[in-house]
Amino acid sequence: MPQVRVEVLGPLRAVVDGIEARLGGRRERAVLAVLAAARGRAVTPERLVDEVWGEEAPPSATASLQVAVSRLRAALRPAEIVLDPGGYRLGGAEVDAGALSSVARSLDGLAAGEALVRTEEVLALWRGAPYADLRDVPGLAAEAARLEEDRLLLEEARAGALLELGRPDEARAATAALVAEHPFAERLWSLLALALYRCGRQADALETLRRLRESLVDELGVDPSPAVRELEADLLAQAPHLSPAAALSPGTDATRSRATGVVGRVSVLAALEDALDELVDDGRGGVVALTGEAGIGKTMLADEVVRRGRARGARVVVGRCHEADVAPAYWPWLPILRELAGPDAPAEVAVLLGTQPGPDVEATGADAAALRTYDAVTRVLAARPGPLLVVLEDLHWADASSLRLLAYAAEALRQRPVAFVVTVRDVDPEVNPALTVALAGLARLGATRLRMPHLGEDAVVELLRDVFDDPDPALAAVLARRTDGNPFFVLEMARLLAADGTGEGLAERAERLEVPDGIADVVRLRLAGLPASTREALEVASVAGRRFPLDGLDAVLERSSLEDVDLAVGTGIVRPDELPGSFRFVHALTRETIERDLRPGRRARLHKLVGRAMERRLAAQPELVTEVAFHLARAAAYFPDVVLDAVHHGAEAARSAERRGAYEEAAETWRATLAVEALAPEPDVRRRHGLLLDLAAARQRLGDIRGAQEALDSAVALGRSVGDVELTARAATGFRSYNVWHWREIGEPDQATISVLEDCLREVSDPVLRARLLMHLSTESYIARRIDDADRAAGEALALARSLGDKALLQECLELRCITLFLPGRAAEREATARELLGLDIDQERELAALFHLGSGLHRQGRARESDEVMARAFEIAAELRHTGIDIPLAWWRWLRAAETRAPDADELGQRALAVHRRTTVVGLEELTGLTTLERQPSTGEVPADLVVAAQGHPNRSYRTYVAHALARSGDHDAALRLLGDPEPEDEYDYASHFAQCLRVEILALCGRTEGLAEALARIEPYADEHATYGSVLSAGSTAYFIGLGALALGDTERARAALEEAVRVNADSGSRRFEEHARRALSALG
Amino acid sequence: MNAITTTEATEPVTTTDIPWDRLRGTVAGRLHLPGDPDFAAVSTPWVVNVPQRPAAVLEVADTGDVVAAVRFAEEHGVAVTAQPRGHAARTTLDDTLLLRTRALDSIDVDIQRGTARVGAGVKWGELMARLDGTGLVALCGSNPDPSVVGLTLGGGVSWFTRKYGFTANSVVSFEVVGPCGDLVTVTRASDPDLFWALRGGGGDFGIVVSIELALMLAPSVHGGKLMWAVEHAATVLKAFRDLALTAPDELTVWGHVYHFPPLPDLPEPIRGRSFVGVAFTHLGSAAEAEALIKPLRDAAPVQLDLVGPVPPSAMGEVAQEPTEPMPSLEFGTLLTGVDDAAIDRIVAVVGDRERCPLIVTQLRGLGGGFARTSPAAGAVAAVQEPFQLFAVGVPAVPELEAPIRAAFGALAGAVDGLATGHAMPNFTPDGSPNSVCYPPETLERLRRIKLERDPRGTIRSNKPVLGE
Repeated sequence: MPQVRVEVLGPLRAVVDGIEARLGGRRERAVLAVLAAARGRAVTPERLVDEVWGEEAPPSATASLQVAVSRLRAALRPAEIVLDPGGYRLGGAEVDAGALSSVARSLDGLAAGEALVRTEEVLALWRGAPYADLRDVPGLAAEAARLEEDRLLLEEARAGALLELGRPDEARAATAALVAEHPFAERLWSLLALALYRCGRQADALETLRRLRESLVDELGVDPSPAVRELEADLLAQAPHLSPAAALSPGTDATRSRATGVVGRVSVLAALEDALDELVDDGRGGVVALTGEAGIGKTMLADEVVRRGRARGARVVVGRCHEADVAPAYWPWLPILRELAGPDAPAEVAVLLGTQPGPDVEATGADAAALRTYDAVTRVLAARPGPLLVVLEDLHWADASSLRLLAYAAEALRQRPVAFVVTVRDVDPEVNPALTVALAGLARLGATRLRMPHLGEDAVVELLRDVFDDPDPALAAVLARRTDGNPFFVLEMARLLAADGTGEGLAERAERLEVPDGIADVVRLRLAGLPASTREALEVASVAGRRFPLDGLDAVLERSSLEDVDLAVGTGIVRPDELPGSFRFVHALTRETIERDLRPGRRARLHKLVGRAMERRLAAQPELVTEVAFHLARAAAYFPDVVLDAVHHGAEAARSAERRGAYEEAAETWRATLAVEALAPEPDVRRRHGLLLDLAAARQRLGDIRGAQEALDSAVALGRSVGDVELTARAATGFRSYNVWHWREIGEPDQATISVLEDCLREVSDPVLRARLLMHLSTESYIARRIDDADRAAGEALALARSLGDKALLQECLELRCITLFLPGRAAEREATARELLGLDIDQERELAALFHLGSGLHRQGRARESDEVMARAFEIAAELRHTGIDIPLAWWRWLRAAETRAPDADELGQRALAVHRRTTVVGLEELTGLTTLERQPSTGEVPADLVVAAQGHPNRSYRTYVAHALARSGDHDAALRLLGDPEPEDEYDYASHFAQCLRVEILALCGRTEGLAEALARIEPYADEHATYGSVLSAGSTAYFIGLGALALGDTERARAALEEAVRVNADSGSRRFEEHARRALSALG
Repeated sequence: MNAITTTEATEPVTTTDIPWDRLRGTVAGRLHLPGDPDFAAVSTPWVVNVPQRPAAVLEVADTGDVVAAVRFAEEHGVAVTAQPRGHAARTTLDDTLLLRTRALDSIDVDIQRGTARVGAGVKWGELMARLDGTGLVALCGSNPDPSVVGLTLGGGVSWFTRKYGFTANSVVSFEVVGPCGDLVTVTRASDPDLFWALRGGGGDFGIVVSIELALMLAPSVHGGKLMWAVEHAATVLKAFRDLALTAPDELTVWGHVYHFPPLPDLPEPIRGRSFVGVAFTHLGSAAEAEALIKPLRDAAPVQLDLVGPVPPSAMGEVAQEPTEPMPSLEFGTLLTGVDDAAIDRIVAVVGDRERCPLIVTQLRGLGGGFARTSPAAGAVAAVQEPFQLFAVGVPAVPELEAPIRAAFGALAGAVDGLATGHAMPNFTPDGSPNSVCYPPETLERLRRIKLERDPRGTIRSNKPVLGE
């Protein structure tokens, strides 16, 4: 029997035996809809007319109704529309709304499994708003509203079932999609909140209920129902019954470890115990991060870890981060190193601790120096036998160097008995990207992240024992709810209550306690109860920092503050620090609140007073300089008399950071100092110019070439503005070499700097400065691919330097000259220049650079054996010096030699070089990634499309040619020729141009192109004796091989044979087995 | 369709080249290969007369074995299949790696939530035994021996289908090892397509290692069987037919003609004798049930009265179907109705013990939940036909096969004009095309999903959706 279904859950439609029936016009549809809505009951013709035609129905409406009914009968057969005594009735048809409603009515008592299956079955019938197309029929609007109610009921039941089945994610998705449609459906919103809570999104859960409350109050003027309020309270208290039954098992978190005052932290403590077990029993380290909101008890727990660690025989060291805007470099590490470093500590650690002067900052690159420092600290941490626990508190305030050191040490010490426990406040990732990066890095190392949970009521009872002898559970309930289970907040409120007596009615008073809707308010309330002198002392202390010395406080207040501090200790606001004579705020939040509430003028004055007081102790404690600078800088806007001192100390602080290798902090401190300097009552061009140059140098060390350029441009502008050519010239020659490679990508010249250098040269007469200007002009010209200009300027510079007999100047010029002689036909000259440099009295780092230039120069002349000897010496020095900026070119050189001699570890060396390179800001990463990728695949392998695309836009023409060569070998000649383009002009050559010209010959030969081949061949012939190398990273062996290939393609077999024989001989001689084999193969093909 | 199946067919593999030892090294369960002494025993299905020639049989020890087996199969281009019991054995499993999942026998019943999660090796009888006294039932089949997973994947016909729909549509989630050897939990939200296909589309989409079923409220079930002398067959079956067409969804009735063989393990009252019988279950009280079946009792004098309360653990005994492996041949078709003339013709074919080689001929009353359609349902197809005709013959000796098939032919003749040619997946004999059990659009969607998820055909069920 054919089935007839009338579907009203959406636009009306009827389906007869699987096929949609044609119902006719609006009247027919409206009539059917009204009959369907009657659910099998009869509807009088009068009512049908009223509904369908409205009150002003024409007299003909009854006749029209009969027509509509008869049309419907025809369309819906075998279903029928019967005319009973009571009116028209739809029979023999199933109406989808019926199933929806009947299931909605029968949900009570169903277990979750059946409820889910049932509700999903009928909810799937929902196609949209019921009777969506017929809402103008008055009777249907009411029926549609009823159906919407049923649907809501079903959706709620479905979400409830999903929650019960342990699928909160699906429940969340289902309810989140609906709440907007039902702003007042409290059960739906509650389900969403519960689902969020079970997905681990407590805050979102509470926010959901807050939004519900808002719309109820704003739009209906009513409060949420008791059920919602109860849920809200339960969410705040993390009531156990909110968790699904299965997740309840470890439910004893509310117990208190009484000896320590750590309450409600059983699971977190258990995880920490695990970490201690691993450290003490298994000798394995790791990182545990305690995270959570302010005041949640991270510090207290860290103290507990310290206690337990010591009890188990581990050495425990603690470092706390500094709250200043510009954190002093390595601040949290200093106390740790002071404790651990013995007299034989590495020099870098001694420098950090200020017990040894720093190295000559000029000579070392930033990456290198920082790595040396990390390395040294790591060695100190690893030096002691037995388990070591390093606790770093308040990591959210850490300086970038400290974070990076932590990541480095944690990775290096993974297999050693050194564990790290760090506390971190929840911080917006945008606000502190360095912290986000560091935490992500730690996570990759497998760090355990423990989020501090809010306290439940039971735990609050325990906590309250700190204040009351026998705390009332009712009070605990009130406090738990009102404080969101934040222990700091709980204790603050409890102390506030206790201050007014501990008699009866505490819970009621807690309930009425004046709206402390934020932690700050509670702090303020508590402070308000203290004497004015104590408040004053605390204000000064808040400016001084979380930890402050008593005598420092006395000095600022010009009176004894002992009594005030005692009172503050008594009320639990501050407590004695491990450092004798010092105190610290129990909670960072208290300090922040007090400081934030100071009026700006008063805050500035206190900063000045604190800064001046510290300044007086500088002679004895030079490490205070960063803080002095910080405090004075904060006072500078209001007190012009501190500006110059702030600048002075700022510069000193920056230099001290540089000595520690903390270049980020140094750069930041230089920048901050410049900002303070701008407030100086009387401008001083030289002072400002000096700061700009220092800033530029710090930035250049960080690889921030653009930032350095900006600072130098400002310095140039400053020099020009006062017509001081010397200042201008010094700014224009501000770049230094910290490497054996050039500092900017070739082909991206800085035209402005070149013009400034040329302008200066016209005016400057001082020969030393002239030599520098010329040498810089030479290097910038080389980067701009203007070889003739580069040569001319370099020649003049060197002549000048030699004539002056200024050794330092000559060294500087020779070193830069070596870099710019990376050109075809100039290898012998580079050799000579490097030898001249080696002949001077130079330090090891410069010797290393000179050896590198000498070695690569020899190799390029086909004298690979000699080159190997020189490089061997370079590797020795590099190992001795550890991290230097030259590590990276050396790593690439290892790859070059390994690849051309077909050493088995070539690929590994290439990947290692890439990894080392990646850690730094040295130029050329993109092309080197491409080179290593293509070198590791078979020579005829397909070239990855993204590489080709990237190469098309690459400024380095040689790199483009290299990729074109790979394309040609893979057989994609069209793409190869397209990418190859025209040959570059000979006077625009750079370090890789000759290599690229050789490849061009092979590409044309491979693609069967004779056009342009003779010309390409002529380009490389003059350098027949040279090795073709891509700078110092990739070698193609003797140029003769490519001459042979070119001659062969042009049909000159005799010449080809001679060249290839030569290539076999030279490559065999230099150990370039790879191209020796290539040449032999080409020869044998010749017959 | 052919074009697709031929292009996507897996390359022929010589199963002897497969390094089975490597699989053996990675699994905890026992691997059996042809030639091993017990290979015949482990490769024979419940329906013993269906010859299965798998390339290897693995008795899996745990889910990890299933993952390892599928990965191995995927790597070596051999198809893999699961067969806990083999009630629906097919020759389509030749050359496969056959997994015996009997060891996956966990049953977790959560009364609070009203769900049961069962492993692939669990038999219906075992699950139902756990539900006694809970007031909840799973939508079990009539026989306690087949596996929960096997029956459910084929859609599942239950005593409670009229009330609660197909068993497949009571699934809350599946745990499945997919064609690449990945273990995933499949829910409506996680993977709507796969969730749909697994609910009635058969075992072609992954090796299901466990299944979570919704349990339905059933505070009390009353039921059992009434038997009359076979002479009353036409009268009783007509009364049964009338009752089946008017029964509420809570009542399910099946009519039978039995010719019990003279086997010593059958109880004395039925051994070697013939009956017309009606089995029924009613979700509700004894009084309601008795009122409903009164017309049956009135139709003819009842010879055996096996009616009473049915706890879940006894649900498998209502129909008294065989649970021991045996040879059998089956016939099944759906009917648009059974008028008096048709009943007379059926009785003419099967009523006489001397001339009828079939041990049981059954008419199941369908309707209710069988006919309901829902966009939320799985691939199991709604059945509009109000009756299913089903018959079983036991070819104890090969010579019996011909007369059994002849009887099937005669039955088909008896319902000519009423039979639609459709059948439910769990009731199709070996060799039936898929189009018998699925409407074209369902089959199309199943095939599309199969091609998307498992183009290499690593998973093969007893009724491959890409086969014809």
